[in-house]
Amino acid sequence: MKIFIFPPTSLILSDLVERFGHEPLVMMTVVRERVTGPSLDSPPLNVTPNDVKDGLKYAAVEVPSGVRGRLALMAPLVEQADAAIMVKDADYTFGCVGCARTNEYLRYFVKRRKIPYIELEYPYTEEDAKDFVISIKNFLVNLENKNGRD
Amino acid sequence: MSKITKIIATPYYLPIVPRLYEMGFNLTVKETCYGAMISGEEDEVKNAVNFLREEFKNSIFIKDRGFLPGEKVRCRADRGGGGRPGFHQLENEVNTLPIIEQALNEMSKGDEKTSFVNILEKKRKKKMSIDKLQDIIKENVP
Repeated sequence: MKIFIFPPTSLILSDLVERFGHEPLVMMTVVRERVTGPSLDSPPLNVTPNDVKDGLKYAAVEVPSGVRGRLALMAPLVEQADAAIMVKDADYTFGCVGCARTNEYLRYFVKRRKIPYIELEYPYTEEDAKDFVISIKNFLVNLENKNGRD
Repeated sequence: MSKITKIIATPYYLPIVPRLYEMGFNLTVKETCYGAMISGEEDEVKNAVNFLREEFKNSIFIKDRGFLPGEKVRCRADRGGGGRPGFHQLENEVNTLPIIEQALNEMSKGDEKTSFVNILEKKRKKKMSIDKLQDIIKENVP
């Protein structure tokens, strides 16, 4: 099953989803298509002016182009997803540098699609880490039992 | 077939690169501070990933990378130093890997069903409410 992970570049989430036998939907595959595919962009760009226009499907024109550009890359991943695993309050998703508005929108988009999801927090202690890993494993196992839909 | 790249991160030093060379995979391998990067044809990379997961079990963590190794847009050598874009997140997560590895090891040993029940019963720590914080400030600040 295809699992959307948030943050969409997370090493830990991407690895755990793959380790437990599912396909993580990650930002890196989207960027790979853009930077390795044949195109006229030089140097290869993560976000092109066309992406910003495509972002209008997800957010209004008043929304900053940076947010719309990011949504054009990430929101299609949510559309493909059968389920989602989201980590809240990650240090590097804070504020402008972490593009907090895009993050909020993505989480809202997951909830609006009504796909199964769990929200977790990054672990800082051994006990929390155990809960974190077991929660993800059990979520994915239960997902298989439900055939991916609630 | 297209070329893909994977990042392999480890919580401590592991002989990833020597083992890959021993096995003779047809890959571009780059050793890095967090582990290694491998790049090559999709099937070959998948074989290498399966081999590494068998060999090092829960001690390695793997994710995709969009750019090829040494890509000018990303590589520090062409950008005049500093962390490459994306490194700070990776650095943040690599610091968490030791406890994740430990959790995976314990989970593979223990009874998972028992652990699942424990999680459901466990009460999560709640954040302090603003009202309570205001009361504390009123009591303690003259």
